[in-house]
Amino acid sequence: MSEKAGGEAGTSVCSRGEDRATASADGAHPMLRVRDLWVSYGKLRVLHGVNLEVKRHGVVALLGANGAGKSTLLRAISGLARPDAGSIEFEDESIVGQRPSSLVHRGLVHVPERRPLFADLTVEENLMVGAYSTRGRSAIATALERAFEYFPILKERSRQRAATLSGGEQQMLVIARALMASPRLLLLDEPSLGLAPLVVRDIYRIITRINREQGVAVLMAEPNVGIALSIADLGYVIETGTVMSVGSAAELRGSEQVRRSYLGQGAAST
Amino acid sequence: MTQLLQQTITGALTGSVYAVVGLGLVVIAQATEIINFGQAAMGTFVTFIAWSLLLRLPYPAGFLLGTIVAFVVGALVERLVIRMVPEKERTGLNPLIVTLGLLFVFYGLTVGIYGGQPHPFPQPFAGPPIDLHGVHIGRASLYLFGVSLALVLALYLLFRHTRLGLVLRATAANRTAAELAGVPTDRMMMLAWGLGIACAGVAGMLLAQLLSLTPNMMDVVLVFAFAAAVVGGLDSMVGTLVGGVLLGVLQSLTGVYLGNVVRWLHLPFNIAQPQQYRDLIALVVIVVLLIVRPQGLFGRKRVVKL
Repeated sequence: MSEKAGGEAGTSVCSRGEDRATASADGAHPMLRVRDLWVSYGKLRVLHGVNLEVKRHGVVALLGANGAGKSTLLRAISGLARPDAGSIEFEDESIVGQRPSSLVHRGLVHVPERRPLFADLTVEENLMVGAYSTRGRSAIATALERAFEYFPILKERSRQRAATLSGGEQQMLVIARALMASPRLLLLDEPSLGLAPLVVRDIYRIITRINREQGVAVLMAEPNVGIALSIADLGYVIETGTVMSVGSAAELRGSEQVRRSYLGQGAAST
Repeated sequence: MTQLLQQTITGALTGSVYAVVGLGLVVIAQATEIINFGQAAMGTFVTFIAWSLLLRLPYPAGFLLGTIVAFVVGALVERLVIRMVPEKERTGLNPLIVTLGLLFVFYGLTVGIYGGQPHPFPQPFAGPPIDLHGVHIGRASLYLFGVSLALVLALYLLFRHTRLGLVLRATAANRTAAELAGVPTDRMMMLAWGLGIACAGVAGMLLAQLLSLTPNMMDVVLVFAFAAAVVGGLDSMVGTLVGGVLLGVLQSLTGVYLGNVVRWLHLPFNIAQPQQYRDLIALVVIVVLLIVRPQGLFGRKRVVKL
């Protein structure tokens, strides 16, 4: 695998010696705070008391194998899944039980896995749906301009049906659609799924730019540890529904356990 | 020749109202994936309300108010009934049974409140039929056609050329994705039901002035509306319009010419009263179409979702 392409955006900004999620050393209030979150699907318990924080403008990666509970955690935060217990605070207000659409209005936008888009609508129409929470013609035009600036290929394809896009372009479209709502926190679920390494690198480069230029905080589930740690400040390793370890990108890269469990072949071949 | 033309035109005019009811079905089915069997009963109920309003109000005001009442009834039914069906069961058999229940509830309400006897419904353009070189066109039919066409056009513009319509289409296509894009999809469902039942109410008021107002005046119309919607593949507005008009023509022609056709084909039976077979044709169309082209004449072939 050629996934060691990361590093070009090397950003281990914070490296605290802390290992617990409750550590917000800077004293600043975290933008998102998840405490002791329990979630189940039917009778199956998926998350067992997860703690997590995302700082304003921060980039946090959720690492872990498929089925570890990363998607469930994102779904619970965005309101798609109902927690059994625990609290979720966004900008110091509890958001448990809120509808996903009202969270979008508050600036928390979830880009789910498998890039669900409106296949029969054009690229531009897809983006306009994303602008539902944006009021005013000029504000929408500005948002569209900004989306096209980050994803110029979408401008070229703006009149095409979304179904005709390539996988990478579809991923760009769902991120661009989320951008139309002017988010302050973006939840990304496996943006790299099924995409060629070069495309993945492009997409992550743009995500990094969005984070830096728009100040959008990012919480992403990404099984590809190499690429995730290349842009994240902080990583949470999730295993069978609990947080196994927390650390800065550099710490996690150096961690023997993470290396063995997740960097897998990538680490072995270097 | 004149008779053929006469029957075709009469059929086409009547057929437009099937399209309106069918369109209401399509709007609801698209947004909520539910086929509303209560459509006709709800439309009739609202028409009775409009009738009681029209005893005191001038026609345009009563008509407009009737349409608004229909919208509100539709939205309320979504909010108070449909939404109570657990989300997991929304696409299965349960909502179907629920809408069948709506049929009986609204039929019962109509008969209970207004009684079973027919009432004359005010006609805005009463008068003798218009004579076009021997072809007679009733004013009530013409009015029905005009309003139906206007309504179809208005809905088309709403769905194709406004942001609200775009959001409604997005909700219909993928509800979760729409919700995550910030669209309050529960409100969109209410809106879709409001629009759908508004169509049924308008159709009811148009039919009542053509025929007369009875609690079951729309029963057969619902079947034709289904047929029209199926022609459009349950998702095409243009297809539903064409389907409705086509069915109206077919129905009208069957009523007059079926006997001749049977004789001409030397089939081993006689049709003494072709009028009795008029409504059969809609059912035949539904069955044949569902077998031959399940996606409808106009519906796009669905890609199986994984």
